[in-house]
Amino acid sequence: MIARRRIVAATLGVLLAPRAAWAQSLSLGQDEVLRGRFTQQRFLQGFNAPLASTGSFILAPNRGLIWHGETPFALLTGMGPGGLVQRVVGGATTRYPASKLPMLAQLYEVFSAALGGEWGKLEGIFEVERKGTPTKWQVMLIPRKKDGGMPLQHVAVQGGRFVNSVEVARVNGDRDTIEFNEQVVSRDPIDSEASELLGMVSHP
Amino acid sequence: MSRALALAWLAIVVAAGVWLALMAHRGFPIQTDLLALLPREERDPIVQQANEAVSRSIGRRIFLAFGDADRDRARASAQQAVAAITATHRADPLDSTTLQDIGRKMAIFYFPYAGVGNLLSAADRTLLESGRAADIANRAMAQTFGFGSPVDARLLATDPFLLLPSFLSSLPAPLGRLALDEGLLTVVVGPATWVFIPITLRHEVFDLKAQQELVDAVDGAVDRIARTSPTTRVLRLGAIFFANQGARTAIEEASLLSTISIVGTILLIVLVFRRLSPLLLNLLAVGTGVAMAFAGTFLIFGGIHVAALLFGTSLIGVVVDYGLLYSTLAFGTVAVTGPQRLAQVLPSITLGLSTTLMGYAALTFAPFPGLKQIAVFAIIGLVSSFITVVLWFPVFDRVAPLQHGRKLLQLATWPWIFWSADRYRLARRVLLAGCLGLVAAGFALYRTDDDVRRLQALSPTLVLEQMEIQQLIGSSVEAQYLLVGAPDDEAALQREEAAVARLDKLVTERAITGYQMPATFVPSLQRQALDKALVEERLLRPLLAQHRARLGLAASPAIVAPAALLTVATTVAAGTVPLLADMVVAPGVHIVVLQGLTRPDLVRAAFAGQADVRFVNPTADFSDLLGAYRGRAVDLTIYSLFLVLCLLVWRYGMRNALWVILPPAIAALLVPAIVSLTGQPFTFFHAMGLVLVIGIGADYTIFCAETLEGYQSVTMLSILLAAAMTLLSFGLLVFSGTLAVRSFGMTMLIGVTVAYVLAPMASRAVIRHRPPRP
Repeated sequence: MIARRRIVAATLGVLLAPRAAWAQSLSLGQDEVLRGRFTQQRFLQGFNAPLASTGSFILAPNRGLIWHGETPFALLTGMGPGGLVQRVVGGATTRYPASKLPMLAQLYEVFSAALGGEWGKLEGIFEVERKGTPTKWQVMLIPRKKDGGMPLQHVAVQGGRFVNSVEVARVNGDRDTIEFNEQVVSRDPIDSEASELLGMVSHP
Repeated sequence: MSRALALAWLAIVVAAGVWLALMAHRGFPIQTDLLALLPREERDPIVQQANEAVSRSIGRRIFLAFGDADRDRARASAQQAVAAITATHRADPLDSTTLQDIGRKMAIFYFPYAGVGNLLSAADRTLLESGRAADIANRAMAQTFGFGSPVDARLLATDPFLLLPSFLSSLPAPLGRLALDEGLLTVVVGPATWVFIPITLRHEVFDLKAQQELVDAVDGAVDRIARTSPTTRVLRLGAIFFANQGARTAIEEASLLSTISIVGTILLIVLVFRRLSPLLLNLLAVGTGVAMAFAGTFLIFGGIHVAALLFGTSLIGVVVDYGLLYSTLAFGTVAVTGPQRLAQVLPSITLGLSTTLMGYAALTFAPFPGLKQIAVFAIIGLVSSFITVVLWFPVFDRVAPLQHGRKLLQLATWPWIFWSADRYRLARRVLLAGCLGLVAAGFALYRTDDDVRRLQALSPTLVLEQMEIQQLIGSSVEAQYLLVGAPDDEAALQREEAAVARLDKLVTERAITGYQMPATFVPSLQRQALDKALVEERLLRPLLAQHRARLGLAASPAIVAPAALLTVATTVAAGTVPLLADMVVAPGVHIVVLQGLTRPDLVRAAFAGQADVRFVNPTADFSDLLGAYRGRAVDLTIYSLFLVLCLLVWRYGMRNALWVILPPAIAALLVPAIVSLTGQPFTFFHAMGLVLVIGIGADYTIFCAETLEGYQSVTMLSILLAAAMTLLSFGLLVFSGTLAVRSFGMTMLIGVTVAYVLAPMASRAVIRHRPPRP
């Protein structure tokens, strides 16, 4: 179960970053970070309404990804080469180290490959179909092995200068859509709590 | 008549020879498992079953580690070795797909049992018991809405508080600190990347052929890696490497020692007799003895243990006794034809054979399968050699009385003179007093040591590599374990759950680093029911409705109760939980695997006085057993001494018989005394040799007692030759690299030497009181 979260996490990491490589107009420097807001809708089989949540995110190259849920539930998640860490605001911190589940290491490879904008590496795991222009493009990722531990049907990404939306379709029919907006690249320092979480996951 | 018998014997020997040749063509079934030498009886069958399960499970596991500062080189080396091992079809390296599948398959297996809390992690149980159910609800919210949520509709519908994912992630990581790096298990330590390949043997670890092929494949791969990638270090862990090295040493040693023994024997006979015929006849006696012994042992046991092979080849030293006594008659002048010579030696060798057989027959009572083999090997060999002397020697013997050897005869007669001449009366008393003094002094220092670990000389390199791998992985599976015995699986699981608090305390005390038990993977039905009630009362009733509302589930599907509770039988049958099958020995008999054991004493103390959860330390138990059998071997020695005495009383009368029994008895006493004086502890393997010392020592005194007037020198020469040969074979074992074998050799060295020196003492007494012969 945890592993599946990693898969999605890794995939999202892949997706947030490569837009720079795709557009070839933006590349995050060593101390640059990408910030933005997200709206996530989770369409689950047998549920009448989607599970919706909103919040902000921070992508720091070579360190990891911070996913800050605000509604309906305040939650901070950090993801990096060292695994995944979750903190319920005002509550407990839960760590899922990479060594606990060997699959994570493989998935982080996807994550880091994408962070470097290396689509070539992803092509080992996904079939990558690209369409459109540098200002309005779509990428469809389809796992090459359906039973290789990736319970994904496909991942569809749309973007321009930044990634605009992602759809993750699972083999069981569940589907997540995430829309991104207000994306900014800057050298502003990361706040202390996010830094702390990144510190916990940025090393294996 | 005797000719017909000789021909019949020839037919038997030829048949055995042909059969052996056929066997040799297919490869002799040689066993090398030292544990096979252990007694099967007098052991708790449950413990034995558990020990076998544990050693089989550990024995089949191999770990190879490839370390290099360059990640790619470490990986390439590992892949090279995997290819070589796969090609042998003797073992299966664990591939990355299998590793990745373990977690997924476990999740799928457990899913139908999830839902209402019958699978609850210890942490969640504590949360509920301490009234912190809201934490669990929040965690479930976090996981549902969090980044890359693992939650799907089916899981959320069945398990809205996500108790199952929590249970699954609380299960112990199967591979310690290792993580998958592009499909290979890897750990980075300092500058080096270590890649690990777990391998499972398809065969038992002591299967010699499979063992050799696999070790050759690994050695070959390591050699190639050393050439192509010299910076890469390769470490090995696995019983197979120790077993292979032990077998190699034993076989090399056996062939070297038996070669020296045979060459020495040949040289000795040729030098003494200066004729070829006695050599050929004695080689025939030895050859038929050993060949028949091999054939008989294979026929009875279906194979031969390498230890029986080692002791068995030394039998050459004893089987040569009868032929030598016959052949030395050529130095005499009375008996000149074959039948005359046979008639003269027949009483001696018959009596000698009888007493020695008694010694070996006593050995067959020892419940050690290996000792039984040795005894059977020896009995068949001795009897065959005896038959060859009786049936074939008179037919082929053409040796005229020998004229040379006067000096040799004088030399050999010296002990006889010492024990008969009046001028040595004082010296004799001094010698006997000296023997008594030695016995007293020796027994003052007498100590025993039955530590089984001393039996096998383990390669220090392999031991170091094993320790390094265990450090890198951060866990080790110990041969020591806790054995849970209960009427059924449910009772066993409950006992394990009751032991958890004590085990956790041992972890905090650093007596162990961790443990695994069946109850970790399959809670007892009682625990499942209690957890279910706890979840119902503390979580579902107060929080479920609110939780659903927070999730935004308008019309949620009803919680589906699991069809059945989880049981050990179904979990083992599913085969999805790694190593669970190894921990369930039989219904109700479970093993708690201990990891990183450093303080066996604390573990033993923690479970002292508990009949249903016992700390089992196979090494220590094994050592205790060896101690018990050391005692039994000493009993056997006394018993066989008594049997020999009965035979002697029948032949010589009570008073004389006591004199005849004295030399072997003193020899048997001096062995532990001298061993103790050298500072060595007395072990089971010393004691085992004592039985043989009695048999051989009795031979010598009987040969003396049966000597006809004027043949004392000839008899003494034959005894000297026999003793020399026995020392050449048994005595040589003191040079063995294996302590057990060395100890046995030490007993033979002391015992046979003393028996030779003292032998004429008894004969002197017998001659004085011998009743006139008919």
